[in-house]
Amino acid sequence: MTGRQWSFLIWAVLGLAVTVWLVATWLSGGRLPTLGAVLLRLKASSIGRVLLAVGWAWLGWHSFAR
Amino acid sequence: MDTNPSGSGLPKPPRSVVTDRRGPIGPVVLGLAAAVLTVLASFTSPFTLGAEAITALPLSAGLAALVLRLRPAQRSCGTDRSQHDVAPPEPPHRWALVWLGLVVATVGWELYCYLNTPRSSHPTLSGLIDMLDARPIGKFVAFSLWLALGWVLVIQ
Repeated sequence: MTGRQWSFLIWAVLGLAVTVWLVATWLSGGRLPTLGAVLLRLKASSIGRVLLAVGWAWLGWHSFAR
Repeated sequence: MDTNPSGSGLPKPPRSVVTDRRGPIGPVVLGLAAAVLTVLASFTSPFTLGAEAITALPLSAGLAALVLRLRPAQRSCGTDRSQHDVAPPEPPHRWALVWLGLVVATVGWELYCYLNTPRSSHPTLSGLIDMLDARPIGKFVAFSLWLALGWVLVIQ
């Protein structure tokens, strides 16, 4: 396998892991923290809200502007 | 005649002289603005003034919303006890560490790819997104998702 193929494989594994955990937490009936619950908890603090906003801003600027 | 409860005999003022006719105009205007912005964004290319301007608009709105959201919390600190008299938050769930692990792994891999060359052998997350939004329809979807994410993370 080439380096490029390894990179894509690892990205795919990461994406799959996130998807599996999303579904698992969603189906757990509240026993596991969903992404929404984690985000709500982060947003409850000012620093968490700022960090989320900075991450969102970076993602948009990096993806669409530069 | 409906009289004033104070007993003065004066007629009671109407409860609502001017009814609130705003309705759902705010969300509709916001939705339309987001749709127009997304269509415009889908025809831009990175590293152009147009792309920067279109991306800067929601970023400015998000920044303004963030500042507005944070200011009252700072002002009321120590003065308004009603917001602070609620029960303390529950301790973090130990399974939340899985989310942290996924974020750390993704950021770590992104940094590894970013710091290694050639870029073709080490595609970063933005490189993957570039593949998805190389065509206007892809960019339309990606920009919509980004705006929705901003709504959830920053505005709500």
